[in-house]
Amino acid sequence: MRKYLLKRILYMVLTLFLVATITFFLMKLMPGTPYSNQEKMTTAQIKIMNEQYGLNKPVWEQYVIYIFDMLHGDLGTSFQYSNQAVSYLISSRIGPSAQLGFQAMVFGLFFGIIIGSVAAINHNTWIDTTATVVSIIGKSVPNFVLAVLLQYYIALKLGWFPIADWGSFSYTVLPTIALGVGPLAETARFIRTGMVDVLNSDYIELARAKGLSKFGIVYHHALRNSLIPLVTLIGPYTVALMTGSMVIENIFSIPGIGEQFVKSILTNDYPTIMGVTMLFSVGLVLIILLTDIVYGIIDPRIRLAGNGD
Amino acid sequence: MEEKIKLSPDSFQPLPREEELDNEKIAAPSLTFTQDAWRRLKKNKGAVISLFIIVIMVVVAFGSTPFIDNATLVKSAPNYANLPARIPGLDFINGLNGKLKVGGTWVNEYAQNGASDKYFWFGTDYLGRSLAQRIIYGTKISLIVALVATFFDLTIGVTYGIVSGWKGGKVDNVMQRIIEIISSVPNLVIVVLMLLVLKPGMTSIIAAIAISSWTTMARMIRAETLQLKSQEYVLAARTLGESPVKIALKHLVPNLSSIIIIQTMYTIPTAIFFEAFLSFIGIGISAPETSLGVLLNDGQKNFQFLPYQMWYPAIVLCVLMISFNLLGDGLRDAFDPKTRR
Repeated sequence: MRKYLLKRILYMVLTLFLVATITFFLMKLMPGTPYSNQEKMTTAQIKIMNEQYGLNKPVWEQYVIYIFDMLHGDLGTSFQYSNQAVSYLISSRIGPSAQLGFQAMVFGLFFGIIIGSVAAINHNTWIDTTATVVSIIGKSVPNFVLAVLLQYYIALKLGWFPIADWGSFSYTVLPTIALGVGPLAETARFIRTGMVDVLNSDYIELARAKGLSKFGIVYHHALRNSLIPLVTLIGPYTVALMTGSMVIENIFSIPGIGEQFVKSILTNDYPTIMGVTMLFSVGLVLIILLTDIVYGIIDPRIRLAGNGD
Repeated sequence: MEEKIKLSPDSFQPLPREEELDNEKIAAPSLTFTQDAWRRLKKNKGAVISLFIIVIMVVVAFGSTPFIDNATLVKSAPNYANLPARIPGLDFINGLNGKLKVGGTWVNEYAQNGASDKYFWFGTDYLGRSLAQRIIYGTKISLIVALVATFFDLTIGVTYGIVSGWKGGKVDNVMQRIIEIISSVPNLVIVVLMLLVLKPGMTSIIAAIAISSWTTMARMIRAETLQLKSQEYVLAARTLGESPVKIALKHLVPNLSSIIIIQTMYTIPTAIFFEAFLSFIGIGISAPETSLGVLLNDGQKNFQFLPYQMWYPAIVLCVLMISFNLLGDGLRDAFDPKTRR
């Protein structure tokens, strides 16, 4: 187990290093300069700016400095906001994004599991059909379309929740739903398929023969066993939530990472783009590693297979 | 659970002798794998309807090419700006008869703007351009994106997976690490970086898809190839000295076909979503071209007063996504009956 873990962490570091390198050189290939949005500047001014940001040095030197600084937690200075460190920019905005992502994940998993198990228990009835239709629609309707509709009909017309901005819990409800519906639909489908299989297995038959209540069977035996493979979906969900946050945070004007990322893209703010990319990659790689470890712990069959790898 | 059947001696009758001879005869014609899958697919109503919708969308979208070009897309007519939908013969349905709800009452916008003889089926946008034309063009863009993603899935994804699985060992290890690196950056971040390096537009979206869309396919193909590799018929082909390329084409690909088809059907909605998403946040398709994402973004700005400008593209996009998802599920059930229900 320890050897496997060490190997995984080594690959992880290598991956992140490569991602950093590739992002850096892609940024260097980008057309336009960070100053192209500003008013006309004299060449002398541009020269001063270049020196200030270290853009006058040869590319390889910039690269070495970049990697060195990053290892010390310094992601450079934003081009867009004068003299603001990217690490500060990110850390001041990570709160809302993390909260939103976490809530959406919990929302999606919780209701997805409920809908999926209800569908599986009532397999091949109208309840099952309804759940399937709901999950197909949830999977197919893009989250930004849903966000706009929720914002207009629930927030503006009915006035149940604030329209936009970030504050108390009520501000988070609509963005959480918009962001969480994708994972919800996926979870429901996944749980339903797994549970139908499990419910047909021998040990469920045994539990039934023992005279356990229906709830007892579902909760203690069926659900627990169909939950295990769900762990593998956490990684893909994280990706979906990260990308989703880019547009949801924009629609609900939430001061988070995703909103900042889009803003940085539109203004050629390289250091911030690189910083956020690295943050996303680190987050994703860590979560994938974590889920793999957890998966091995809760399902010993997988651990055996993993060791052989 | 099981019904009790009462059995009496009458229930049993000796079989006439002649029929025994026909015991071995197979009554139904034998079906090939594809025919069998097609037969199962046809039983799935949702999938058949989806297939039908997709075919109609493809025909309309690509059939419109001679009629809707860049010139039609940029031609604006400010007199006709923001007209709601008006479909001949539907004069009695508010919202489809050229009337728009303004301050609580239905007002005939066509009469007000001196366009009583015009019919815009989906209304017009803020520059007086027909929304129907723009939606059809947008659908075409979505379908092209879908086609491109499929192409890369089938070429890069399948080849990569087969090579990685077939070679095994160090080659496999390196190839899997590459996939791991690609997929440890969120796909959309890759897309965004590609869009920044190239300039926003169709080319960069295609390039981005080329980089990121095929990894899942490659993984699945590799896993399956690893299993197929140890099958007797592959061993036989190897022993007979068949070249690896021929083994891949003649033995592996046909046996991988169901996975390939199913996985492709899951790549398509993802790719369509990608394009719409990018265009929606303003870094995808840009003027003069348009796409469903661009239309949604435009419509979103005026949603309060001109809801139809957002609703129509949204409905088309959702129907497209639902159709591909349902067809994908149908194909999975048809090609892989074991996992069904």
